[in-house]
Amino acid sequence: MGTGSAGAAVAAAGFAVGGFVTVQVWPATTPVPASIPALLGLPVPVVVALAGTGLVVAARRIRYRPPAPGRWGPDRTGLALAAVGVLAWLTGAAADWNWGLSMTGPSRSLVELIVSGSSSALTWGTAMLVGVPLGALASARARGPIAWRAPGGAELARRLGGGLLMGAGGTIAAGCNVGNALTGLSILSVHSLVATLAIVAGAGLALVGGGMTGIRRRFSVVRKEA
Amino acid sequence: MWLLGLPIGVLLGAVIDRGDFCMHSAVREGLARNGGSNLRAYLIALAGQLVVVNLLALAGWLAVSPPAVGVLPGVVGGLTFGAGMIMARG
Repeated sequence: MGTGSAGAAVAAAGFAVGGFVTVQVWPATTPVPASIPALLGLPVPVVVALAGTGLVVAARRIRYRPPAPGRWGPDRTGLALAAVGVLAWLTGAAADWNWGLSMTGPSRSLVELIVSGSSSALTWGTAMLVGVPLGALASARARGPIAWRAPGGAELARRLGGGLLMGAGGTIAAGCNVGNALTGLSILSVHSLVATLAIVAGAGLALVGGGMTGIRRRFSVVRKEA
Repeated sequence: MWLLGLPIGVLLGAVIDRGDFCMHSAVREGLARNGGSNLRAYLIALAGQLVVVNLLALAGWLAVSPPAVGVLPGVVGGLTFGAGMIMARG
């Protein structure tokens, strides 16, 4: 706002009156319930039973290629992930983490720990994050010889840019495709449902915006680098 | 107690390797609507965790509370993360 101008005074009066009028007609916003059962007005066990059944029925209809030698099929992988997810909730509770598997927060904390040495960044999540590449490396070595792959300069820049967006987006959304899509949805969080749908939409938009044609076909060009 | 996270991470890494699992691929498979083992594994993982965690919570052995809903942060952050994920190929 300007100083000492009649225009500014009129604008300020308009600002106040506009707010006063609007608050009379605009419906008061009630906070959105945090849990899906509360949002639907259904008991938790009913929603868990319906969602659990729906997910399993949907999963079992999905076709897949048989796993490569030494790898597990999707059902075994899914059950193992569920078991790790439950163990994460239980050990996390003992460590005041009060959440399950998560990647965004712990990645941020790891940088904090390195940059500032702040001991508040020493959490269950940071320890979990450090364990992931160790476990993957041990498992891969047990399967056979391993090799380090490094893409060229332009590709590295693209990966770094994407990673920065993932860190920023995951931080704004308070979780990524692990913290929201796996952990948050498992406790029927409305926020995690919103974030998960947005992640899928963002991926879809990026694929379309990336100039890809024949979306149906191109989407299934799966790159496993995570 | 924070060190309890380490063995969980090691387990997770081993399962991801053995299952050749990738959340990025699961999202792509979902968008392609053309099947895929990552999407199938994700749905089973979510179903299993959903049922067990909620049973533990109902039994009073685990406290879970969904965070407050932030529609705008969820949408903006989610869109950014999803696009970044495609860009990072990871």
